[in-house]
Amino acid sequence: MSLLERTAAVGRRAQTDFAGSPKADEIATILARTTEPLRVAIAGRVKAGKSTLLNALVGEELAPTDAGECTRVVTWYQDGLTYRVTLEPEDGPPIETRFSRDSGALDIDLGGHEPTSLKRIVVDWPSSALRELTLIDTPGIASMSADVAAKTHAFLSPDTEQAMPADAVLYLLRHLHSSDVRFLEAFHDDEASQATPVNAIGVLSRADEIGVGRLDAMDSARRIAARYRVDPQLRKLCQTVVPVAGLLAQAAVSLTEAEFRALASLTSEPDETRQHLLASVDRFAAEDTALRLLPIERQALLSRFGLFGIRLAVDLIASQTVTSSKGLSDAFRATSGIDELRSTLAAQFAERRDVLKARSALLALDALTVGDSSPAAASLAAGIEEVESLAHDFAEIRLLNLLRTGGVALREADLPEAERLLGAEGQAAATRLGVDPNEPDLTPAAMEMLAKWQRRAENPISTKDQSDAARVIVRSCEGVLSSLNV
Amino acid sequence: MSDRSTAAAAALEMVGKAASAYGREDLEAAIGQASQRLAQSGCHLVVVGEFKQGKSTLVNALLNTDLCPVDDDVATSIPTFLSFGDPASAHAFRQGQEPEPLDTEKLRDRITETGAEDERADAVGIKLPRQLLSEGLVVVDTPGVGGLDSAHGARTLGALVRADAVLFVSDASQELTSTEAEFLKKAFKACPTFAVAITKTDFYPEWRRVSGLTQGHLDDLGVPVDVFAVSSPLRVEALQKESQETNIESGFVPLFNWARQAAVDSEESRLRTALSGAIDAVSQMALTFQAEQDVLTRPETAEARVKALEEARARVETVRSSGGRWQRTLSDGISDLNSEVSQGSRAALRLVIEEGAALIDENDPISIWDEFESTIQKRVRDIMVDNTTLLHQRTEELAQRIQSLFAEDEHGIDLLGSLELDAFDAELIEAQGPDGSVAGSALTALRSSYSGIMMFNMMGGMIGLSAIAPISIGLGVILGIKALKTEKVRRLAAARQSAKQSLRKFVDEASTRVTTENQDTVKTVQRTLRDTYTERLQILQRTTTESLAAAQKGATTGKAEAAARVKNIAAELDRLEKLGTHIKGLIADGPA
Repeated sequence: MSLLERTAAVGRRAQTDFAGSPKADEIATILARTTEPLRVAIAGRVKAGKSTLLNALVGEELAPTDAGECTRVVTWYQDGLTYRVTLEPEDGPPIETRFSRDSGALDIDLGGHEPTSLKRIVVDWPSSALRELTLIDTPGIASMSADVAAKTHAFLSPDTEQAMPADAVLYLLRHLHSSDVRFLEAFHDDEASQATPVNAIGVLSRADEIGVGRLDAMDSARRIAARYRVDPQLRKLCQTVVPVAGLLAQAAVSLTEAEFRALASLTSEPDETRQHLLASVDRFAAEDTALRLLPIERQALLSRFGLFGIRLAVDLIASQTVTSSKGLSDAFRATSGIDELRSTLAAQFAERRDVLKARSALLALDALTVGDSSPAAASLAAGIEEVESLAHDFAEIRLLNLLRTGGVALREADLPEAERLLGAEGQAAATRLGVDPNEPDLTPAAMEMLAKWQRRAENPISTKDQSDAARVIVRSCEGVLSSLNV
Repeated sequence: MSDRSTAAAAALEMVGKAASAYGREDLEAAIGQASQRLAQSGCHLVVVGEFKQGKSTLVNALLNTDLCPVDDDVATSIPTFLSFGDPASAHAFRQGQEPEPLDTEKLRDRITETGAEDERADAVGIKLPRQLLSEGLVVVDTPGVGGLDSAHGARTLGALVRADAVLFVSDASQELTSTEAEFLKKAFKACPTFAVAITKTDFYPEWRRVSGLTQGHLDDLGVPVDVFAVSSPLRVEALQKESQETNIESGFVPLFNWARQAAVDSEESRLRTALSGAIDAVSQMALTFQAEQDVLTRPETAEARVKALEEARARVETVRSSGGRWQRTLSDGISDLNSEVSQGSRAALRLVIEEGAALIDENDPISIWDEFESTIQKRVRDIMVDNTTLLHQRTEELAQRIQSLFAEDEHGIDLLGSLELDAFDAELIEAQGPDGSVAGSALTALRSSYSGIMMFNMMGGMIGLSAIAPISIGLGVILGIKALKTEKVRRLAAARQSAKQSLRKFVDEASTRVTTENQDTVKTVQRTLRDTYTERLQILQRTTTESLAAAQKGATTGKAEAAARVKNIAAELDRLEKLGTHIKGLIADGPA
């Protein structure tokens, strides 16, 4: 029986035990959730590019993006059979509402509701991307409107009594600010998991802006992300940090042939004109030169691709590196870093999806036992404890967290290997072992790791913590070996 | 130096020489001090803002240099002071050490966070031959490291009370954040000569909207300041191509003019103070000659003159020997100031302990420690900054009050009233302005005396108020407990106690610092004000004594001798009047 199935079994038993009490309904909701897609919240400071990234991940322009603060209500984007938008007021039943989609992004009719009076908006949207993940757009942290910021806090770090509505979080950073750190700290829930860097990924968003749109901006962004990845403060808070140029990624999925031709036409201008024009957005958008493109066409390009996207496109087309809209779209996607984010998401969340979902469900079930002294609650608590103690996946997560937060001190040199074996970089056997996936026989490598960590576990000079940690890693090695024998 | 300040320095020198020639070494010393202050002080324009907003890039573009290092990743970690110098040069400053000359190539490591720890200086000074700096402007590029709500940010904020102008930098990627707004509000209170620069307008298409939103937030905050939207790369292009058109496009023209105006205004106020002091010195010298001449030309009034001068001398004596209201106000004011400011801070710090202890009691200190620690540190920093700002404000208020009381006392001495000024231009003496010359110089003296106090000195403020040690003293113990987790209840009690001890120790240290700072400041203020006015009274006493002696001598001068003496005195008075008129002309030449 898988971990998720065991969790569901505990839930179903509790459902019978609690029959007739309102808790039974809550359990039903929790159980239903285990069969739904993984919920990934996108959080970050004001204007960190949350909606843009969401669009890039969905593969179409859905969430409205805007230079002012624009997401004011927590908005869920989930797969559905039909296109539908539902408002959920703080007090009152959900209301289906009208929406239009003129210029790409959704324009949702709030039907006279104040944004602050809404608990959330749910967008049902048939989409293959959303079948895998439900994405949750949140208002910015450190917003000038305090109640908007409070909404996100309330959503992502509810009181300990409540379960987290999201299974995992993409946290968007522009540069590391102290409010980011405070937020990430607040996001970490208490018991059962302790601080959990495992379910958060840091995204260095709007990465093209780091070099203020220079062509090598993404190189700078990669360098900075690499530094953040090893930053002790951040390591405690999230799994890894990936740079993404959201606008470019969003443009990559929707680049049209006409847009490509427009960008290409810029390359036929003399170098000097081009340089002059691309030095500033005002020049590019407004200058009344003898360009083939009208100012209004140029403004459209600017809002779609940003100055960085245009500079990059012109450079690529002029140097004949790309010659078609398909080629440019691929180049945009590759440069944007969205592919790396996707594969990180797959490695960190998708492969672990069931574990994360089981964890969320157990946390939610556990919350029901708080302050309840009934036999039903006692039996539920025992059931939860049993699942938790048996699940090696949880032991792995817990140890990874401990390693990240400095709770267990392993030898510095052993750390990367330990984290890898625990599945920090992905669940595949080769990934865990850190060997080439094309290697025909992984068994020797796995045996070697097993032996090494067994020695560590039995080493008399190891502390108890270190031995315990080594034993968890030994179990992970055994898991890898058994997967190879299948 | 501008032409005006060169001319002013020359005039001061002439007055100093005259004082020396007439044997008034007291006036000579006072003038010497005034010229020194004039030469040394400058207008500190401090550039502040959240990190990575393009502060260093803006400073480089403003001053047409590339010496402030700019990088996509690393941030400026120490303050950089850019002032006038030809040829260009650079120095590293470390506390308690002589400035070390720096190779401009090596600046980068000294200023950014990449430099090795022991390589790093506390501050870097760069001298550049730039016209904008020639009027005494000192542009200060502040560290962005850690963000505005970090210890660095608090330190910058604390130093702003010494700034003459503040430029707040925020890029056009987004409207002001709440952290920025909070900092901005406090910074504006510390230094009201204030402007906001919105940078990177070349990159963000929506900069006009962001700029408008920021303007709106500023109005809401009650911070009515200019907002300049600028593009540093375009300014660089303009400088390279020497294109005025591109310069206008870059948006730097109004910013440049604002900075220039701030420098001019600040220099003007310093010049006026120094020149008023010089006119006063000239008047003091003239009075003695005038008294003698008066008696010589109108012997019938001699008795009345002598009597009036004796009365004036008696009044000086009264004011000097503790009868002056200013002295009582000074001693009362100082103790009020000390208790008001210190009590406020202490109460606020006590509240931190109480609330912190309550939080510790309600929670498991282990699980909340990280967040708890940063919250407490931030609150304590805020209290320290508020203390500094309030102290500064109250000090200036007290100085103003004493100044006007002293001016009244001085007016009561009435040296002029006892004389009929026929040979000397009476208007000249009144040209000093309503407060009299001393009024201005007391504040100037006070401000320059601050440099003795680390806190208030611009450079010292940036580097001196080192962040107090984090409250991690008890953390080791707490972390140790974390690993065990057995005997939960007892451990929790122990953790709580240890956390409270750490908290108390931390706040106590902060409290000690606040008290020391307040005491040092108050002491310096008291001493400076007392010395300034005592010195002033000595000058007045000397003038009355010498005038009295001159009048008495005039009364006994024989007729034959008197004619020659009158002629001599007329020549001296003419010389002094010319000098006075020249200085008055210098003041009048200045901008209104």
